[in-house]
Amino acid sequence: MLEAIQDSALSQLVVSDRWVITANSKQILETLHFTAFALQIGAAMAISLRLLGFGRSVSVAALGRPAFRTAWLGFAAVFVTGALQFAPIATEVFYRPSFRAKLAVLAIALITLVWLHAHVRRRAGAWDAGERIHGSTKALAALSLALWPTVIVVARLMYAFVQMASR
Amino acid sequence: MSFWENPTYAEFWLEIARGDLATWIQLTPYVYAVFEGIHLVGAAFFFGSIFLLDLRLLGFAPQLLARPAGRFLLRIAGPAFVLLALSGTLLFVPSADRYAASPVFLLKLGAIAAGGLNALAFHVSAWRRVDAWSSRAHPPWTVRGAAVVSVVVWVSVIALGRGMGYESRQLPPADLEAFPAFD
Repeated sequence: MLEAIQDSALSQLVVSDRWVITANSKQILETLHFTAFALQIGAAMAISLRLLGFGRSVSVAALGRPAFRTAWLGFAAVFVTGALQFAPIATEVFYRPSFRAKLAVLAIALITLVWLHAHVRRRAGAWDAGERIHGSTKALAALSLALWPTVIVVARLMYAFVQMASR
Repeated sequence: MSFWENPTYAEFWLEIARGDLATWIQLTPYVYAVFEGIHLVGAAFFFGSIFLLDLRLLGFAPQLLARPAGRFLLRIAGPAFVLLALSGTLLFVPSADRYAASPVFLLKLGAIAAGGLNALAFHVSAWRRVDAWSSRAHPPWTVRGAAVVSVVVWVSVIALGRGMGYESRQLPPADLEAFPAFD
C-alpha cells in the first residue's frame, strides 16, 4: 500500500524535474502548506478566542461564518499539499513515531474543531441575543486554542526528524 | 559595493553568530526546531486574523461589523507580531552573518516594512472614518485596495520566509540526537 503510494504516477511527478514547478515542488508545496495552515489555524484561533470571551462586541454568528469557511477551505489545502509531500516519502515516514504523533494530535484537534463548529451553528444566534456561552463550548474553545499550536510544533519536530533521517 | 559586503557590517553579524546565545541555540537539541515551531504558531495567529479582517474589508462577510471585528482581530495580530519578532530574532541569531547578507532575508524585511506601512496608512486614513462604512457590505475602494495589498504582501512574506530556510541554515550536528525514543 505504502509502496503503491510512493510509486504512483502522481508521487513520481512531484519529485521529477521535468518542469520548473515539479523541480521546485518541495519549496512550492511547503510554501502553500504554510500559507494554508496559517489561514486555517489563525481563523480557528480567532473564533476560539471570541468564544472564550474576547471581543464581546463581535457577533459570533457573523464572525463564525467566515472563520469556519476559511478554516475548512484552508484545511482542504493543507491536506492536499500535505498528501503530495507525504507520497514520495510514504515508506520512510509512515512508521515514524513522530509522524504518528503529528497525526494523532491533528486528529484530536480536528474533532475538537468539528465539534466546536456544531456548537456555534446551533447556538450562535442565542449567544448574539444575550444568552451566556455554556462552559462546554468554552472548554472546547480552550482545547482548540491549545491543540492547534501543538499540532504546529509537533509537525515542525517531525520535519526535523525526517530531515535527519534523509541525511 | 553593496552594504552587506561592507567588512564592518559583516563582522558585526559574524560576532553575533559566534556568540553564546547562537551557540546555545545551535547546540541544544530541539531548541531551534521548537523556536521555529513557535514562529509558525505566531504566523498562524498573525496571518489568520489579518486575513479575516481583509476578507471583511473586501466585502465578504457583510454581516460582520467592521469596527468591532477590526478591533478584535487587530488585538490578536498585535501580540502575534511581537511573538513573531521575538522568535524571529532568536532564529536569526545563529545564522546572523549569512542572513544579514542574504537577498531573500533583506527582501523579507522589506516586505514586512511594506506590510506595516500599508497597515499604518490604512489606520490613519480610512480606519478613522470606519463608522461611516462599518456596516456597509462594500467598503470604499481605498479600503478594499488596502486589503488586497495586505493579502499579497503577507503571502509574499510567508513565501520569502520559507525561502530563507533553504538558503542560509546549516543543520547543527548535535541537533535531535538526544531523544531517540521519540523517533
